[in-house]
Amino acid sequence: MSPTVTETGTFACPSCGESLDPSARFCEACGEPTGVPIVPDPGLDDPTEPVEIPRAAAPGTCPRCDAPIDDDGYCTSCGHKAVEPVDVEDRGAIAYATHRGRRHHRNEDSGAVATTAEGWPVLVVSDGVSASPNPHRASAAAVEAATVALAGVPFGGANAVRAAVVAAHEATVAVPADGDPHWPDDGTHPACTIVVAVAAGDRVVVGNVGDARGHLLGPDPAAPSGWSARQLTTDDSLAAAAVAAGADPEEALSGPAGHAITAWLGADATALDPHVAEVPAAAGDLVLVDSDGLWNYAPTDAALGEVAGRFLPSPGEPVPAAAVCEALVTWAVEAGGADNICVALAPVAPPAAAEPSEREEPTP
Amino acid sequence: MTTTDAPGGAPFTAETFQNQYLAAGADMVDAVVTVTAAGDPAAVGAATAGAGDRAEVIVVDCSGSMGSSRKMEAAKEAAAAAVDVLDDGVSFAIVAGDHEAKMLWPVDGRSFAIADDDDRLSAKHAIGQLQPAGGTAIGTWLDLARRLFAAVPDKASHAILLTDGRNEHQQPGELAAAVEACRGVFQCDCRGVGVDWEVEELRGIATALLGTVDIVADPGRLAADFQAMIASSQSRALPHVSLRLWSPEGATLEFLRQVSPEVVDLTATGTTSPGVKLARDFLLGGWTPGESRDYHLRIEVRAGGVGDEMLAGRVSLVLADGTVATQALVKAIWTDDRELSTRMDRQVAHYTGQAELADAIQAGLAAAKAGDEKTATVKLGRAVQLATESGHEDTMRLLQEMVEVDDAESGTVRLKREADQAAQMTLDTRSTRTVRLGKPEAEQPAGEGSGA
Repeated sequence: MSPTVTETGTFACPSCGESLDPSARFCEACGEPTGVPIVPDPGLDDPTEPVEIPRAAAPGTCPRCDAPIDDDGYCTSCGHKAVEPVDVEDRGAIAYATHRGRRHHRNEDSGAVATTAEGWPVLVVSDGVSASPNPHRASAAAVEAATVALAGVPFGGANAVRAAVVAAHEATVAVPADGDPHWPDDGTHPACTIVVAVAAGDRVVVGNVGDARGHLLGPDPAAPSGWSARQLTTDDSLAAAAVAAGADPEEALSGPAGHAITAWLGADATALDPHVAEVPAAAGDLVLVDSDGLWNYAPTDAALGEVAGRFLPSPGEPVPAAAVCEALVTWAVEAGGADNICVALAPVAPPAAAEPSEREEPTP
Repeated sequence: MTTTDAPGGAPFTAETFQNQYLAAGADMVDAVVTVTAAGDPAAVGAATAGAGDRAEVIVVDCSGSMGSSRKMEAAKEAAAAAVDVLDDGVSFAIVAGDHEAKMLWPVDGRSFAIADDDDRLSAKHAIGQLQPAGGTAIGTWLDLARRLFAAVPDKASHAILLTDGRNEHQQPGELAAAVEACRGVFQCDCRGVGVDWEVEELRGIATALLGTVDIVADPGRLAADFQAMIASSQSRALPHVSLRLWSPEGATLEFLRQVSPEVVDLTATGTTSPGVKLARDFLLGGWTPGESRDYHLRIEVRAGGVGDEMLAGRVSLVLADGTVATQALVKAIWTDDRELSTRMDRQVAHYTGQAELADAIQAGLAAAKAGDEKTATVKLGRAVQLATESGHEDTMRLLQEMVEVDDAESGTVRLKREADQAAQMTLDTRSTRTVRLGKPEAEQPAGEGSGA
């Protein structure tokens, strides 16, 4: 059952009639469930139904009213800024994509992809903390530092991932707090979250601080989409703490402070303690890293596997990484785009898989 | 703040001051746009007006009342002084006005004399023959000036209108119709001499005809004032400039007003822009090189969703030949970040206060005239408060002629029992003059919290 959304973009609570945001799953007034699915996309209920991903309007015309776009990027009729396309970095088998979403005025997420000396994919995503100055610069600095630490050098395993996160932290600390027109000079410092993943042949090493996530996607004949997902990272968030203490995951996330993070990179961070995980993986598996702009709309392994499966080919077929990343970002924008979105994807066994003899043994 | 002026130099530059961020559901966009003319417009390729491209008409009241207090003599001296400073080659005419309008010079069948030594001498001789007699029908004076200027439509046209009385020998509607017919044909600076003229009447003419209005209480100061007006007119190198405002489908212009150097409401003066959809043109008249004016505009738009960005207005400066000289963008970005949406731009706050100051003075003086001392005290007290907040010393001085100030910060005042009539008219006439905002570094209240 889907509640009726009115012209004003709100809908009435089925229990008490309170006017609610269309994404609200519980009524703010009476607390009753509203029936809004956790992934607010009508296609989700029927996975066999083809999902229509709305594309950008024809270049130079406004998607709202079809009028021409002026030289400054605004519609000549309704004045709305033309929606900018998803920013995609295509490195063949490896890719990332990012977009500012619908509700934030700038993209404070950053992403990068690279390879180690062995040719193993390195994926990095960082989410600038909006409640800090220069968050976009913080995430860019963090991503660059983490990528530089891993790219083109022999992979050093879990310690190398931890070191990359530390390097990202130090780069974030160096970002100046002043000069952000959108933030008063109030003594807070630039901050961001980070996730770093390396698909090192038969295993995946992933490190994170904050709530950017890393997932292992694998073929799963039992799953409706043919793919299942497993979160490898541990969120530093109040919701994760509540779940650890026994709360229901969905309820924990939907609470008012569900998305508050408890750890981050930057000068205001307390003791830096990155989570680093190393899991075995098989050829044909995929590594997906993403900011909460994506996973907010697919917060559980089941939901994420379901959504990713829509845009992935059948297991065994070549994965068009850039197209999948772009489709996932576009899906999150269409699902509401409440936050900036950044996702990166790589296969566990890269096409030019390194010979075992070239591998550096990981340091324990 | 956005600057969209051409880096290589343009005849105009325009700069927007606004808080672009709106709360969810908000639909009112405020911005102040500062427009500045280049120091040397010819150097940046703009077509400028020389002496041969200008026409001046000097309209002198010669009604019977001008015979008292040496006013006629002073007006003759002033008109002669104005003729003296006309550049060689300027087309000019002198009109004498009472209950009808008469050509004083030239009277040889030409519409305009061309300023040279001979014509200047002849004109001054004609001026010397003026005798005060008859009534006052200002509309007929404007009609004659308009007919003269209509013969030279390509020239930068300017008139000076001097009167000492009300438009008594015409119906109010006749004057209003005459003013409307003159709109866009010429610019007109108006001066009232003595204390028997109507501030509101002359202000209406000057506002519609893009000119200034002032009181010359002392006839002895007229000559210098006339020369200054001619000098100012002759320095307007950029004639016939318009402000073009584009705003999106469904948007409504709440107001567009010039707010510096004085408050002039332009909202109703817009006309459909030729060949540009959703745009209106507002005549600004001529500009002096280096001149800078501020405009405050408020546009109601269709509210966007959080995260949407909209171009709420595009302000362009359009030259006489239709060239767009520069533009400034007014934006709206909807956010759920109250930190962003609740800020008020300093310029917008300041000029909101300055406009309220002008309103408070005019309402206070009108109430005093009508014998409503309570309203007069409240309004003039508010004016004292606003003038103090914004550091408007000239207006403060004039207000102190009307009221005893007990506490400027709270606006506590007492009306003076015997306020001077000329002082009262001076305050009324100059109520629309504004001050600009000081530098942010300076410890200045900036009129914030004075929201109207």
